[in-house]
Amino acid sequence: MITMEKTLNVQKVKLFLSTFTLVPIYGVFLLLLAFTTPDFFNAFNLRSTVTFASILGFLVIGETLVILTRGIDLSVGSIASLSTVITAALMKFYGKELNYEVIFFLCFALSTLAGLGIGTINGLFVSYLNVPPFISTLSGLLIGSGFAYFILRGVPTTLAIASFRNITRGRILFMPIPFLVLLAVSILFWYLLTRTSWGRYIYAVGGNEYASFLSGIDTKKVVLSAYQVSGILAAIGGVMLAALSNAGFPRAAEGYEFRAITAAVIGGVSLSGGEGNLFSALLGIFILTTLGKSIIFWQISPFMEGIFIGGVLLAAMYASVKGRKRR
Amino acid sequence: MKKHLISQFILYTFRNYSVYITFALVLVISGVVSRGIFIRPTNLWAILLRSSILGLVSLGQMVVIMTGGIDLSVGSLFSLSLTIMALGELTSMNPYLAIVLALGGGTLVGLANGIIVVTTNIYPFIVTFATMMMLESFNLTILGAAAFNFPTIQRALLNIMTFLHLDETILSVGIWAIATAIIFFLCRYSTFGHNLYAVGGNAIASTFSGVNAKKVKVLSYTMSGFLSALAAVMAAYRLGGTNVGAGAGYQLNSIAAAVVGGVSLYGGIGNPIGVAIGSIVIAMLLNIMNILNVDPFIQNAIQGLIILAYVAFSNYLQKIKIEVLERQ
Repeated sequence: MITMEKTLNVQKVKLFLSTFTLVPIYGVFLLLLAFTTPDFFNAFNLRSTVTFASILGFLVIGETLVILTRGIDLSVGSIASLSTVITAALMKFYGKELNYEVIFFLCFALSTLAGLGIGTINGLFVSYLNVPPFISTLSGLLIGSGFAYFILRGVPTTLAIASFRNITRGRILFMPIPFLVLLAVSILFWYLLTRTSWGRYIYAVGGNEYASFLSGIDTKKVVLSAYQVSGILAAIGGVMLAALSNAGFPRAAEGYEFRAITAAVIGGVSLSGGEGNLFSALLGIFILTTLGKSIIFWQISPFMEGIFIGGVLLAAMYASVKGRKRR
Repeated sequence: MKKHLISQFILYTFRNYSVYITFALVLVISGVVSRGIFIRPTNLWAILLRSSILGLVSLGQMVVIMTGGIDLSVGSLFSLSLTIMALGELTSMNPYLAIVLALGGGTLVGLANGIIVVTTNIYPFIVTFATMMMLESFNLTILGAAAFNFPTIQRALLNIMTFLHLDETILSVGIWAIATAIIFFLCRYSTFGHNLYAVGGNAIASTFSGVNAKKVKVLSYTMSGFLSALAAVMAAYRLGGTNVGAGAGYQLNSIAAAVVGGVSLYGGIGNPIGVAIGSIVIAMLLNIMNILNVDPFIQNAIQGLIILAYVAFSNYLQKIKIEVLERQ
């Protein structure tokens, strides 16, 4: 018994270490930034970095949930783009007829519904019809971007109601509102993942789907719910993105699914499912966004960001594969 | 007992000839729905031209999928080759050299994909997804947001065609047919082809029985890179230029063509002839949507749904067959 307790403790320490190796890495990176480009650390830039990372954080939470079930969700970016388009379209067509409050509510409600719809399609095909997740969500990506182009005919549209921007520009106690909302949502999902049966089912299904099926978990429902939640969160992130960029267009969040996956992988979420921690995934997106911003400060073409992110993803993936082999 | 035999016969036909059945169904339904416009010779030629380019990409995709992998970078490889040709035009390089460089560039990136997959053991879809991101970023850096024309390259391609006394469609379809035939014979009669099936069926078992699984995988990704680049060169004459999104859609369309052509996404099952017909089916679907005046933006969504439905349906068929066998 003693040895078992000991090994458990050792495992806990290891888990703690692997989760929080990210903090010193981030610290070193920030120090490097401080030496190379001191301009990075002005209040405006820090605030905008945190705001942008927080908005991406919504996609990361959903992506992490899906990856925990041993899936992958490539459609979050297009769902977010679709939400920006829905937001812009609602304001364009009904901006003068309805109250601002009603419009704001409708933006969130309709986008969430759209996200839920695409998430449900993804989830149904993955869980009940046995389609591999990346095929099913790649189709989800096509469906989302198809509708995003369709609604406003692909024209980038400025938000007709300027005060909507306050959602992302406002702050309470120096902290941007999106950051606070993300904090609340992530604590909620941390609670759900670690303290409720639904959350434990998510881990169980990702760890061994067949075993969890045999122990009486409705695995299909659990997988479906993960994709649905991912769709909803991506949609909420999309509405905030519209508020941040003050516009809606079909390519607004193109490629953001890629950042979400990279952030999760940096945060140690295993792509073979059942292993990972929400907060380190969120730390991952902050590191990634800081990297993206610093590229501009290093005076490298922002078009090259994809090359950097791709490199980071491959390196993180390699480290994760290596680490798993050794254990 | 008799009932069993009949149902099994139907299932057997459907499972093994689903490509041909789908092809016939799509052809007949499209012909009827479009009131004959669809089956006019000019339209059929247009479909064949379109499917020849998609077919080359899908052929590479099939080889990769058969090893149990997936290549999401084919679309951006396609764009990369066009970008290299644009670079050749920009630096007023010899156009023939630019074309060769475009082919070589695609092949090299495919090789890099393969080497990364094999040496690091990272999931193929993550590796090729990362490659896709990096290539798109590269294309964007070179081309910017504007479209770019390369008349010199176009003229060089025209020279090649006049030299061979062939027109564009025949050349393109001919190269596609030759490539399909080569891969078909490789799959049937060469050690490489047999290893391809073995590695896709069970990589560990094939390694134990002496197959160099790593070499087979690297070769398959390299082939995919080369075939995507070849498709881009074939398309370059008609496109006459390039932009950042030139190869968009090829990744999913090529996967779809492979799946419709009977390739199993879990590896080890596939047939080049089926993939060729699968490419024609996808090209026909894209064409009929244009004829029926479906909103081009909605076409994407419909295509996504069709692919989903098809994969789900073929999974369902496979499942039934197993159940029937188990019952006996």
